[in-house]
Amino acid sequence: MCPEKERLSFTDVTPVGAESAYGVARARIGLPTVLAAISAWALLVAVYAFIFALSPTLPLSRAIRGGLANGIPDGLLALAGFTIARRLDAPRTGFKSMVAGPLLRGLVLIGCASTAKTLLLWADVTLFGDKEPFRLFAGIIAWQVFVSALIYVTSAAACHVRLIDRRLREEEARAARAEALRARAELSVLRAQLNPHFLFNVLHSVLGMVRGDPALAEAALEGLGDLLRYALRVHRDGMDRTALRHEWEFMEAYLNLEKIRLGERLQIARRAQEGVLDHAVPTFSLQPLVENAVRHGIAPRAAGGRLSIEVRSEGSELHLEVRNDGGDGSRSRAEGEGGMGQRILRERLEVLYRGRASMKAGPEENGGYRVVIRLPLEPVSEEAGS
Amino acid sequence: MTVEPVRTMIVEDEPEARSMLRSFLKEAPWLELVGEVADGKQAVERIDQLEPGLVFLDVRLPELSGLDVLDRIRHQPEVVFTTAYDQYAVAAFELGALDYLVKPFGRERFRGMLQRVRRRLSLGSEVPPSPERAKTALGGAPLRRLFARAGDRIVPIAVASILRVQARGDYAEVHVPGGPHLLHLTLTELVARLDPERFIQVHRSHIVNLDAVRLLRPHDDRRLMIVLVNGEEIVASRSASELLRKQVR
Repeated sequence: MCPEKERLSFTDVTPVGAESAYGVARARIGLPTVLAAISAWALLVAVYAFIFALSPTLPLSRAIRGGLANGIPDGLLALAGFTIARRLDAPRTGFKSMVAGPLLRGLVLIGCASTAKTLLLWADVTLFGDKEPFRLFAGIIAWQVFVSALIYVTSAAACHVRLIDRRLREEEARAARAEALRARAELSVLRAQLNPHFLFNVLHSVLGMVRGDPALAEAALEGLGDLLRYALRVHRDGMDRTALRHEWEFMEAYLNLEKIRLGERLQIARRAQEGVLDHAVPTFSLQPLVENAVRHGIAPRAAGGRLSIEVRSEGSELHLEVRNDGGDGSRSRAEGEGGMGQRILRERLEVLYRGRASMKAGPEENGGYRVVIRLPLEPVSEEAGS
Repeated sequence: MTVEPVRTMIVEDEPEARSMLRSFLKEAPWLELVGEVADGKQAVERIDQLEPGLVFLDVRLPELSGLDVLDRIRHQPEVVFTTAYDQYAVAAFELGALDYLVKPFGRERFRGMLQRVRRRLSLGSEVPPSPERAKTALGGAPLRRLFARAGDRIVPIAVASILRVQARGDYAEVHVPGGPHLLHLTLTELVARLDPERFIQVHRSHIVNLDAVRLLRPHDDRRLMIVLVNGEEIVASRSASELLRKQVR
């Protein structure tokens, strides 16, 4: 694993998942789709021509013209149906945009197509001067409307099925990717928790307390147990999201141990807004940020530093903010191991929230470093609940 | 005759670890604690100022690492390293026959180490002081000297005089004309620090000094037999044989 060299700054905001799933789905129509559409249209024309040709009084040329007269408006109608269905595949919901609009547009288009077909047939009869004048039967009109409606619905449905299929495949790929990323995040957290340096130093400190302050030693060992238990539980249950409360407790267990190691050098200010702890956050989102700040921003400085953690809601967003003050720690943080953990977290946010979450990280003017994660404010779902 | 106690310093950034060392040192009246510091910069200042005879030095420190500290001090105390986890450093300590304690360590291990250090301090020694040994061992350049422990003594070994090195489990058995010495490190760790022009790993468990080779002769169709100046014979692996043929050409 190579150390990441990410240049991070506050002005350079990388939106997570700038290319949304919808944008991708609407962007491309492949050659196979085009060929299938042309074939279907040719078939439609052929069927019409065949029906005309069944009548013994009509010559073949007339049958072909009749086929085209029906096929061209219906073909255009199918294209319109397809386009309308494709537009429906956008992040919109609601009766008006999803049902009423397309229905109305469909009715108008079906009317247009039926009229066009009838007009073309009329033109054909009139221009090419058959003996019989063109007559309009109610039955023919009904038939024209029926066929057009059928074609509209079929083309729209075909488009929809295709999009659903693509969406499902994307969803599967996304799930697989989320799984892989979570595994990596777990590994990096486990590696960090079991970061030999951290672990052995904690054990060494606890060893030192065993005689002098047995109660503190007990509390420290309990904390270490909690830390490992949470990491293993997320791993075992394959949890992607959990209540912020659990992440917060995990972070506290970690900080308590760091506090034992670093003593007065580590000053901590933490603030959790009323009520936000019950909202959902990705697992392993808070602690890795805190650990980065401690490891690269505070531990390397003799004077230590101040770490601030704040979680709050802003409008429909949940903000997780971790910052450390002063020193030249920011430089080492941007270039240190923090890069890898941050990158994994960024990717996970993209996969889990699809552009609805973002992460900003960068040095501050006073020499500190700040990371903010913005998430949609969401309740904890069933599976992530307990 | 009363012996002056050895002036001792603690360099350790974690308060708990510091107070533990302090309490351990109380058990050893022959040591006098003269100072404690928590970061690398201060350590350099105070070591040169207080000139202790013995320093307990953490490897990972704020500001300057323990190794940087050694690089900058003028005074040359005996050094015992303490480290939580640093495989590279541990291998280097072995190369310099330096004393170290791996965290977590308790009273027993600390006492054992102190006994070793005390005997060595009382023996006096013609070997270079530990900061110098550490600098050589921890520096990136190929080693010219390494140090082996023989009881409480430290024996310097000129790398040029090594005939061969043989793996013995976790140990490396270094063969020099005076007899073999054991170093507690793997062949891989050792070979990384030897001059590649001169030392070749001819086999999974053997490093050979090319300057100590009397002749090479075919062993079978793919492998070479290496005969050393002292008459010892070692069969080189196929890949090493190929490498040796190229070197000879």
